[in-house]
Amino acid sequence: MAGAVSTMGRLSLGAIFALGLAASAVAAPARVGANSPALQQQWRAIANLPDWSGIWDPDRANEAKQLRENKPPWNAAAQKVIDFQQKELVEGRPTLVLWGCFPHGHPTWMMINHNVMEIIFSPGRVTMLGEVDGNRMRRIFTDGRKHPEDPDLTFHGHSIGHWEGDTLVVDTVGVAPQAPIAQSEAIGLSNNGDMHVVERIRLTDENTLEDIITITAPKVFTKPWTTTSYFKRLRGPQYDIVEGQCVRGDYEEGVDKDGYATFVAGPERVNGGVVPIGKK
Amino acid sequence: MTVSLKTYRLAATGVALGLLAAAAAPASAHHSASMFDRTKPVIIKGTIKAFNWVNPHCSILVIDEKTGETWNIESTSPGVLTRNGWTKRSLKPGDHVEMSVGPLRTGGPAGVIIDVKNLDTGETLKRAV
Repeated sequence: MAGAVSTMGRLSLGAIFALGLAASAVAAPARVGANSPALQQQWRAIANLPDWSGIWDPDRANEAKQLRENKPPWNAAAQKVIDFQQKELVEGRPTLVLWGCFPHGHPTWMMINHNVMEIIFSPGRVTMLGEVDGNRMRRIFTDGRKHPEDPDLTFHGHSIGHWEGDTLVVDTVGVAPQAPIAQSEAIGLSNNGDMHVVERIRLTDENTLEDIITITAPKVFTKPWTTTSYFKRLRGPQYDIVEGQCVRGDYEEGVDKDGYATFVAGPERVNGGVVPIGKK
Repeated sequence: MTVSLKTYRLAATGVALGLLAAAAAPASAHHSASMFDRTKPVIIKGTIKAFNWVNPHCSILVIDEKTGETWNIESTSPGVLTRNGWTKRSLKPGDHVEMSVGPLRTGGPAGVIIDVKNLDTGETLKRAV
């Protein structure tokens, strides 16, 4: 039943996408791959890719294990900050590594996520859609393009991918220097620029997705570092992704002067939590 | 073409406004819970004052029947709670509950949820992570 629902969802999404592409084809010249008219054969080719449908739930126990056992090769200056964060954590004053509701960014989103994601295949592209905010999202181009020479720097960078058998190999550059490399919400640092991330993503059994992530971060690491994330597949409508607007927590429900529903600023909180400052 | 440019401008304005809001009140975030001590749970029996089903962290306000204090108790996000059987109606103002809470290390009536038993329905809901 869940499988049938999932298949229908994919078909209807595909149909909508194809309609959109057909419409855009009127204005733009044809090009193979993402943003081009989706040929029937491109959609058929997707059926030969591995089945990554469903909802993917990050393996939190593995995240904790990586934090305990797989230490990144921080350079001396970075290690000092990490050591301080560790001390603060133990003493109950966790550093706010992810602040201001900015995205986790790449590759941290793949490493310490608590919320689920879904993965959509379309011609020339793999899209990862997260639960929290519209900006927890990755577009991985699989249409054979190269990275831009001088990409705009963004939280998720510029990702290109290709299939090696059933493994999606993703190469990412152009990540903003402010995007953290974090092993937990309280342990991590900005990558500080020039980061390069390579991932090998595949199913290791029917319902486990593995992402082997190798990070080269010359400003904060002494050598490349590899970590592995796992995601468990959930199927069924009870696991559907729900909307999650991070900034919503800063506001309370209210009404404006004309009687329309709105949000008004709430009290400042301790460390991004629910506890108002000054009211211990 | 005009439409897409307009859309782009709107989106850009939205981002700019979002940044302003973040600068004015950099409060919400995905954060560690080490300011709470889950190893020394306290039990609070009382009445639900409010259940805030909002991102990034739900919160439960409960009036301690012993002291009359209102506890502010943090939880994870609606998405994570939903996949663990919670709904926005799981707790309602006036419900009688017994909660196990990891308290704020610095003291005061605040903490992080471990589990909550609804004494009216007998249902127990656990923290999801």
